[in-house]
Amino acid sequence: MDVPDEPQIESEGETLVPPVVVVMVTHDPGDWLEQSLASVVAQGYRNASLLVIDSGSTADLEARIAAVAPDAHLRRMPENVGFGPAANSVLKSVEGAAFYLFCHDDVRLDPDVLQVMVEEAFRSNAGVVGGKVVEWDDPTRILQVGMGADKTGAPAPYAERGELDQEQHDAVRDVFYVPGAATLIRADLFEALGGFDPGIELLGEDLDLSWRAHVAGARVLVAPSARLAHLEALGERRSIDDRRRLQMRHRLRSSKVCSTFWTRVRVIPQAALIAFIELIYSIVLGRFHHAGDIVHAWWWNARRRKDIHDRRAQLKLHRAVSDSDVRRLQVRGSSRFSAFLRGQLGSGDDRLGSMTGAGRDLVGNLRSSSARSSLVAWIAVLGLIVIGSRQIFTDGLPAVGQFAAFPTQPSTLLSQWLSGFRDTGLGSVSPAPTFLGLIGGLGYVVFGAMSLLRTVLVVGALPLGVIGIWRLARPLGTRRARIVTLVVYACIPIGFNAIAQGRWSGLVIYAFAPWMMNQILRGSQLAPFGSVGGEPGPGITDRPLTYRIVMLGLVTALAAMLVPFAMVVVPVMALTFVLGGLIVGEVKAALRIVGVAAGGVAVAFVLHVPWSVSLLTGGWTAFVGAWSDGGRAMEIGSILRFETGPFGAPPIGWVFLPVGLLALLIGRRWRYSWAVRLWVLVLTGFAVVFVAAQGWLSIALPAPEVLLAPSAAALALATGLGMAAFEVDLPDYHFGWRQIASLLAGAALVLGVLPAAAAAASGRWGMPQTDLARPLRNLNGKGGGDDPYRVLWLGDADLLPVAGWKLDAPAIDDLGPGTLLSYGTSREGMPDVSTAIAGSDSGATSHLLDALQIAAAGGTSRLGALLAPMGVRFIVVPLGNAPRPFETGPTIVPTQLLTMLDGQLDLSNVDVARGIIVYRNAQWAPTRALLAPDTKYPSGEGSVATRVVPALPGAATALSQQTGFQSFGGSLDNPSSVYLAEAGSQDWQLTIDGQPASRSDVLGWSNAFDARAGSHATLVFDTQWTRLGLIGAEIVVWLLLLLYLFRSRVRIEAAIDRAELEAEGELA
Amino acid sequence: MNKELTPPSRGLHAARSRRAERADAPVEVKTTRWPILVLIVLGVALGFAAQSYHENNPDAQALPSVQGLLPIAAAPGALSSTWYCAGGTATGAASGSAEETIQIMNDSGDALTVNVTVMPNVGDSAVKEFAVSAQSRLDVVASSILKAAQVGVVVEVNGGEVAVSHMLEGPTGRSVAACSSSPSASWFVPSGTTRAGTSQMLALFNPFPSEAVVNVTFEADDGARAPQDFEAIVVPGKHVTVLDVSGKVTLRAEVATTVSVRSGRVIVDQIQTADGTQQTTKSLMVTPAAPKAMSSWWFADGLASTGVKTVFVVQNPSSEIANIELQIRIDDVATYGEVEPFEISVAPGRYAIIDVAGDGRVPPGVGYMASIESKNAVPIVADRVATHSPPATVVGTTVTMGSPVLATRWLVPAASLSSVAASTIVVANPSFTDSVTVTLSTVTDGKSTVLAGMRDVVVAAAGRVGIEIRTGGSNPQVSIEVTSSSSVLVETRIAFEKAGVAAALAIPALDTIEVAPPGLITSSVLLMGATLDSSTIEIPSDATTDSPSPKASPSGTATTGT
Repeated sequence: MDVPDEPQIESEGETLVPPVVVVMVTHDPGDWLEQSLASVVAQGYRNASLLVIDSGSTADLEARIAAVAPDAHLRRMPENVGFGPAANSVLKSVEGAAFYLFCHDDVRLDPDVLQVMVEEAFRSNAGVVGGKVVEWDDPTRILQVGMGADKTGAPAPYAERGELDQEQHDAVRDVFYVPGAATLIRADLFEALGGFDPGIELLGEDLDLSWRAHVAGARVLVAPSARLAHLEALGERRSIDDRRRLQMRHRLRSSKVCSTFWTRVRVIPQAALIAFIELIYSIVLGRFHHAGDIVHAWWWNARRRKDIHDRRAQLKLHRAVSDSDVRRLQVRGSSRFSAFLRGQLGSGDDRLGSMTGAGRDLVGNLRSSSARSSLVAWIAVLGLIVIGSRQIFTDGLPAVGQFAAFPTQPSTLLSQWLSGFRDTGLGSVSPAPTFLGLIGGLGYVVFGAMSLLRTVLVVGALPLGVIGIWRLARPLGTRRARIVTLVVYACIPIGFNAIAQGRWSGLVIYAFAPWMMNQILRGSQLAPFGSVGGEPGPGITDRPLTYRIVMLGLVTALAAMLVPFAMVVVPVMALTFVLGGLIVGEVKAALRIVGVAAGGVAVAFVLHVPWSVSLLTGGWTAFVGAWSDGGRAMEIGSILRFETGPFGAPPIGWVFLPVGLLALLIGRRWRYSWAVRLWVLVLTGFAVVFVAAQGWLSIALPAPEVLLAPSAAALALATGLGMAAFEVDLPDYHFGWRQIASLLAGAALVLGVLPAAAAAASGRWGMPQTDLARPLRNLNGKGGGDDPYRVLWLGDADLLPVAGWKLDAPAIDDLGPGTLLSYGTSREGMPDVSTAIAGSDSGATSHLLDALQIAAAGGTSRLGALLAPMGVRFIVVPLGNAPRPFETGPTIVPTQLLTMLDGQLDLSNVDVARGIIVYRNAQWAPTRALLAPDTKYPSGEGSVATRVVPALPGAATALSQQTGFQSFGGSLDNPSSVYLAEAGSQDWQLTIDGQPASRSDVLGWSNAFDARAGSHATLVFDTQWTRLGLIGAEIVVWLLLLLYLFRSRVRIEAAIDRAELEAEGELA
Repeated sequence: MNKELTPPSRGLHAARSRRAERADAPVEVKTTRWPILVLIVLGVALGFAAQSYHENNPDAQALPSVQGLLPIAAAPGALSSTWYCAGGTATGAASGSAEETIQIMNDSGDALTVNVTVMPNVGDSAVKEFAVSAQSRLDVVASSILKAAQVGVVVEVNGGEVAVSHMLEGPTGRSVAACSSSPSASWFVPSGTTRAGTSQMLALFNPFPSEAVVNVTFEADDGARAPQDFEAIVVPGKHVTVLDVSGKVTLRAEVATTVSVRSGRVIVDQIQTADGTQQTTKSLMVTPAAPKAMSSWWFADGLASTGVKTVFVVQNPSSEIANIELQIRIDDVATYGEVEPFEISVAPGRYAIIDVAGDGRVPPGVGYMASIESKNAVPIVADRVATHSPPATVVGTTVTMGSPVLATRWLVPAASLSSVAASTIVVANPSFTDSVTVTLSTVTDGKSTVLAGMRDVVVAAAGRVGIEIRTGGSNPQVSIEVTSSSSVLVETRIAFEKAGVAAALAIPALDTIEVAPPGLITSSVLLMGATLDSSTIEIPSDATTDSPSPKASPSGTATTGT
């Protein structure tokens, strides 16, 4: 068929039917083209002609077009220039048309589409008219009925894709833009606007055209009576990622072109912010293509500033309405952000990719009762956390228990981590815990705001835990079950009690237990956490077992940073699940569960090498630490109520236990079997804590929260299973006790929320308003000078602000039920977070224990003299978690210990504050002491006399300038013996004017150097290259595992991303 | 049931899931629920039961520690031990009112180094280092180290198995008591008097670097006394402060004293003198205060001789009424029958005096052991006051604190002293079911010698044995060690040559002590025929050793300091 230079427009002077040119742009069409052409030909509109523009198809379409539409005009473009530029050719090649109907080559028009559109254009005086777009194969399903957009051009559909067409959208209405599948536009308007934007070759030209039409004062309408089916076959001709890229950049271009200066000043930064958040989120999820598209969109537009400026200037000539008038036609706020929230709250899909997929607006989504319930539950839970923590944010987090202050400089922690020398106790040459490196690194991330970091880490553990339980409950399949699980875990007072008592350990396990359990459960592959034995639940993605193991290892390693016992918690969880499986007769997943747990622990252990190896060599005590119940009698009742601290008192504290039984009573299939497994874990936690509280165990155990947090997570999930059983299983029962029990459980659940609300009332989770640091701030002033010294902390383990060791001394260690006399040290005052894990008490530190045991047994009345070589200047015995009257926990007075200390002839009392007993050691000597060159050091073993260095009391400080962690400098005026009260090691090196001084082990544990006079002396702990190599290897292992997880996630996310994009009709 | 639980998409999924599962329901295997439910119920029930058992099982309750209850000798192998002798004068003059001499008994097999620090009421302290041979006794006169009007003495020894006592000697007589082995924040002295012809002093000894702040209150027969001058008394570190109670609580026949330490720690001795006028018996009495109230107190040496008037004084420092039962176990039940227990109630903060001699229940001339028990477990403090008046052979007054503990090894540092006519060691077996075997050894001149006939002496259940020791005036510095097969109680009574009598509790060894459990003895068993087996042993100067020990002699090298 020959293509005329100009189409022949029929003149219908009698009927006055406006001429319409149907412009169909095609490019390598499939076999649908004939149907599309036929639908155009079949239009009942009497004054229409068809112009087919072939945009560079590889095959000649003339024969195909002529076979269906012999009257059609064909115009060939030498190459594919894109839809808009191809369509723009009508500006030159067509004259006399009143309207253009631009359409894709994969649309099938109903016979009256043209008639309806033209009529509506006249009736409503519209410049642009669109129709109702339905699915090609199922015309009863709606794809689009006009589109809204926000100020950045992000689309906001008026109808949900796939929605059943029940004429619910059949009212004619103004829309922001009509989809480009078929757009009727007045020819004069099209010419005035200069056609489609030639800079938009594909995708987004419809938005741009309609937007500019709005600016020019034209109405843009959708006439739903004009129905057309859209095949959306673009995906077969263009890559998905390319399409998204085009769409993103073209939206931004339209936004820039169609907005005035002041609008751009407001809108572009907002768009940039949203893009940045989206970018970060995409990177985190591993959707690099998505992230690349965002960057490309901004870069592409930045390079076309002049072009955009010209387009804007051209549009300005036709601007008839202000931006504010246009703005009124747009969606309020950010439709992308709204879609994001919909993704979280509506569909349950928390991926950013769902931003573009949802069909309903946020408000409409929230009209769903379940989504509204989720929102209310989350607002309540997060509100509870925020309100309960408000005074912590405003007044600061007191240094109670393990919540010791962070050093002001992140480098302090990093250097300790790298050093290979630990200064807990009397020091030891051993690897430092990994958390020192992590917190030090995070300190740089927050630009040195260490106090803020500490507060965020403590308070943030609560939402981390509830997010974990939210994800854990996702496969249960019902929204209510998920909400119940969330609420129960948030209200079980384990987290609150851990904060109240300043226990990192309990808080960390509370935060990570759901995450660890999640990986074990998913690793089991049992329904609903997998496909074995039933349908997998929502959100379950099939991942290899290796991924589960590595993921569990990573989560466990994070928890084990502060709680090494986490590496025990995981296998215990797994074994209880296996045992529970045996009870219900399901053993098929036992191997997988055990394998995942064992593998996860192994990974976690490897991630902490070399520190984890030192834990093994340090024995069980180093693994667990020294803990007490803080003087609270952990009776069976308080254990069952999770009352490990001030929260959880009866009678309401009891309610969660019976609520958790519901799944056992009415559950069926996997709801019952998992409830049994979870209850075995619950009972195991209770039993271990109870047995430990009765003193029936000869081994030490961690804080009760550590043992009960997994039980709390299990109980919460069991409660969620009960809710699922209520929805799924209960209707199958006849009315009876089960229904009544269910109602009672529901009522109890509501009641159980009340104590949590009451706990939040204080605003600081029961923590004291102040801490021990304030009265002890001027401890140096109590003794004068800035000499290096140690503070020896004695008292109940729960009250010490430093992680210590059990002080086993029968004469003085009976502090009462639920207590444990312990000891620990700090440097020059209050301890910092580096002492949060004590490590092993073997080696040098054992000499400190020896001295205390000697005094406790009545073996000396001069304990100060025994402690002098250890640099102990003050002994501090806290009686509560804060000075009186601010203490919020039990007061534990170690009477026998105080009697022993009071009976020492060389310890004197220092008045500091009520509730803190402080002794000054009259025999004290600095940890780096300058002694006479001929000083004789005794053996340090045996009698008191052999443990004392007579010359030490009153000795001057050697090398008083600290130049780094365990690095000191200064001058030595005379030949001397430099005594160093640190664990003896060849790695200690004293260099005087470049010459090393000879070192010897003295007192069986410390160091002494034969020092000559010199003007420049340095004393350092020389970190070995092997140590640095191990640290480097540790970092590499972390990175490799993260990379593995990242790559695995990227692959899966990419697949999901692609699937979502394929489902997004707006891109087609 | 509301089916609109989830948003449409998830709701659809859930609904499909529900439909699918219900479709499968008919083939579902019946769920067996009882095992897990039984496990839960049983577990919780067992928990409650175990806890209840644990709470109600008295065996699970730990007995209180013995540290700080009374003067205790450190165990063998101890690296050091420290003793505090609170009261005394060190003027060096014969007219000193209570010139102090320290007796340091080394019952160990090793020679030990002793640092004796004398701390005055005013001025600097002085210290001397001595060496005391194995199984020997070292006597140190306080004034030989430092002269001061009032002194407290600290004895630091680099080993265990050491017992220290001190003898005060003045114009009104002599007295011997154990020094204290630990300081305390509270002290109690139930009996004292400020009546005419007497003087009561309270020595507050603070050997520590920090000052101590002390409150002293009294209970007299006319009510409570809290003299303003005795409130917030500052006892400087390394000093002794002596209070004249007679000047504040005037002319009271009975004064019970409570010392409360507000900060720091002190050691307290009560020193009383009677000049023989105003119907008093001329005497000097030093009584170590009791650091802690307990519910049971034991007395081994009860005298019912003609001329000896014995009363027990019970102080109740608590805030509850104490229901007291004094049980007397006479030596000759077969003849005189049982003695009905004395039962009284002591009001909170008050004291009570039980006059066993005046009551008539105890037959004259028959000795006895006694126990005072608070039946309702309210802690009390009890001591015994024995006034020896003519026609008694020796005259004087003794005030002896009871013992809250029993032990199998007791040390008597001052079994012989210059001018001692005789000293009597009384061993009481408080068990009403089992006899014990007792061995008494002298420790002197580097030797431990079992006294003739005193090896494995059987003391019947609820019986006593008394051994009078005479050293013939040669002052060989004899100490006594008493060992037994089961826990016993040991006291010593010393009769001085010219006049005066002293009584004191022996010093138990730490590793052999048990806290006397309350309610061990019932009256029906107490009165089973128990007799005091008495004998007199002369110790020659060259006493034969039953078990040879290294020969050592006390020697000393003196240093001084502050």
